[in-house]
Amino acid sequence: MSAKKPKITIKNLSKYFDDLVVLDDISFDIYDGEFLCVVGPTGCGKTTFCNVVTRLLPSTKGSVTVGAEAIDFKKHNVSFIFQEPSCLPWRTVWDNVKIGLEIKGYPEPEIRERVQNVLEMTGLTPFKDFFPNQISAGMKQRVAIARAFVTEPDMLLMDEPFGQLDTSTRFSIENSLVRLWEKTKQTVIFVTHNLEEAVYLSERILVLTQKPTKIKSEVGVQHLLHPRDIADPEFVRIRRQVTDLVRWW
Amino acid sequence: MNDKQKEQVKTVLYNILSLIVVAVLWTLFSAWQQSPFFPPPADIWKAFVGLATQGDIEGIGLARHIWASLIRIFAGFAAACALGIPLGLAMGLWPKIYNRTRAVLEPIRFIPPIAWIPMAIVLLVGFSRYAFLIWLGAFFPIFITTLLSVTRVNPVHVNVAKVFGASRSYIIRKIVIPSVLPDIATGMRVGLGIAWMCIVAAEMIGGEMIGVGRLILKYAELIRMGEIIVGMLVIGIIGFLMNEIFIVVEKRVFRWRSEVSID
Amino acid sequence: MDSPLLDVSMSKSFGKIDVLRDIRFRVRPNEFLVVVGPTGCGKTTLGNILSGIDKPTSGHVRIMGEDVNPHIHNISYVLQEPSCIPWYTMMQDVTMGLEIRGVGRAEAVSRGSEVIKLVGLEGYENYYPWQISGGMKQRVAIARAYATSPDLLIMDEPFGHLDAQTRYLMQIEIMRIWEQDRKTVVFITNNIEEAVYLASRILVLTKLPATIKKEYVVDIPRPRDLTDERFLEVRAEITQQCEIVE
Repeated sequence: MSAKKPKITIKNLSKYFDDLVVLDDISFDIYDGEFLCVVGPTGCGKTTFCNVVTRLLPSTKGSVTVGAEAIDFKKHNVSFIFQEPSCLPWRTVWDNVKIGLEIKGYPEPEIRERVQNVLEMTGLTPFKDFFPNQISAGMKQRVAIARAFVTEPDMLLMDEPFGQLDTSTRFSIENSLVRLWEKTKQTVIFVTHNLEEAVYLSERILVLTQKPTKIKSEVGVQHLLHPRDIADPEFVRIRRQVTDLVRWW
Repeated sequence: MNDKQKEQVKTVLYNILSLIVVAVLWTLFSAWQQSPFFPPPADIWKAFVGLATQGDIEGIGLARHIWASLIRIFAGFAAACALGIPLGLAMGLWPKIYNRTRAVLEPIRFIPPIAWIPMAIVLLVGFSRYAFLIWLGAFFPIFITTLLSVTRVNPVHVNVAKVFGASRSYIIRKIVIPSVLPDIATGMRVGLGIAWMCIVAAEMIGGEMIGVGRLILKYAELIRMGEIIVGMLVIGIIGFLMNEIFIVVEKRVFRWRSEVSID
Repeated sequence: MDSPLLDVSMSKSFGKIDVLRDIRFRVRPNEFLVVVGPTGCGKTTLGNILSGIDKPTSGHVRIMGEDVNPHIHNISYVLQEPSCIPWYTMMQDVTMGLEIRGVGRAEAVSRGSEVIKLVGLEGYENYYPWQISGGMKQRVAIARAYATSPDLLIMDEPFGHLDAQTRYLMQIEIMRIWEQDRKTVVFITNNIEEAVYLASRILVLTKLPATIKKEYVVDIPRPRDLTDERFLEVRAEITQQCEIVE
């Protein structure tokens, strides 16, 4: 399970666009190896949140630190799985997955070993020489997941990665994700609108408010063992709790 | 034979049919007109054979004309790519430079190559006259397409590399360039087509007696329509072939761009 | 079933590929039928055939005894893609179907106001599509579908492009609208939770070539609770029936 020491600390994070306050003084810790979900009502600025936490967008105030240092792409190992399909179309599955290791200058034999392993774990080995235009949407997101995990990141952020998938594909890929996480124990921040998905995947759920977005509440889910059963009474109870916290409809 | 092959065969047959229909209509029309200005296809064929085997009134064969023109085109085209692609990339990556120089660039872009002829005659001699005019035709399509292709790079792809800590140089080399290559290829193909269409204008002012454009002009003076039409058709057919070959190469090189097949 | 509204018994192939095979079912008047199946199993082809846009390769599709014909029958079809006409205001969009059928302007506007109110968008009559959200655009599509008082309302994954929470809102909305004016609905989706929430009856389709695998009658009283024990039971049962596609 997760260690007590916080791995990533987010402190007083705020983001303004001129006069519009999108993120308002958000502070929380993430523990090493934890699977944290962030949920909020529709329109709560979750994409801004993702972009600011990973530093693709600068924050107006506040800090994101890994250990004691401010987060920096060049120093730290960050992976981001976008909501949009993000496979580079001119690269095969293999070349897509290895790009993070390539950028960070890993030696070729190590790249080969790591990529092979992660392709095994995500069931993509038979497709390693295929181009993205030859595989389905679900497989493309698996490639994105493989690419994100293979660098063993300090922080892995996922922004509603399964939102555009079919429900049955979604269940299958969620299970793959849980199995992959259990094996590798990466620190994951998973942002989603889908409350059932949040309860299915995470150890802890942060609930955000509408804009100006703050943290409303926190719900612990680590006592539920994987694989989880969506009909289990405790699962249902937690899902209801989260739904009531988020509910705006 | 499956449906797709059937459709392909049908397409080819219909194309041949269209050509035959045009030839028949043309023959009928020229028989009706009985004018030296509308030679029937049979006469055009005779003229073609004549030019190919015996050459034109100066004895220069059709093949030599075609070869001379192709050399000129490729020279001008190569120069257009050599300048247009790097300049387009640079201005695409640093758009401020483009935005601040548009007052100079855009008016020049809209001057047709033919309008440059007097200047070309005065300032240049020989081969460079041809190359310059052809370069003008090809440069702007290549330059503008390259420039616009940079703006169409998918920001998600750039972010994928950025998050892993890639340097700007890496992003340009490994993300921007592969992204824009298909668009640049299209720009090049369009540029080549336009350059080829400038060949007549270029050969009007160049000094030499060979070239398909020059061929047309020679026979224009003699009002020999058969040979003129042969020249026109040769230009059209070669342009068409160059375009088709380019497309085939594009499809092969950029096969990652083809239609999605969901497993 | 005596005097069904919709009587379907057909197959459909495209060239050599069988898409729908021996699809047989009937729909009672005022029934909310949901067809569930994985994406790519021919659900959209089914929607196109039921609405008369496409014809079956063999068999028939009959509404009140006659073969489906958009010129005779009053069918409304709501699609997954946003279908609002960009240069029409909401009122113009909603009354489009009526105008096509030759209804006079004043009457059309009156009916338009009625359905705009029905879907909860009162006050937005003069808004353009770019001014409203995705969920609202789908509500406009539903209003447009209701405006012509159709005999049959077909909806093909209408909430597919909406995020999970907006989707919940729309499911509640469509139930509220349907309770007020019980049209006969054939609703197509790949989301089993959505199917169990909405349906009077569920048909489960297989992968290509699609046939009807099983039929369920959902007798949970409305409004339904997504986390209710019985709801989850039915949902689990149907999930098992559907094959997982990758």
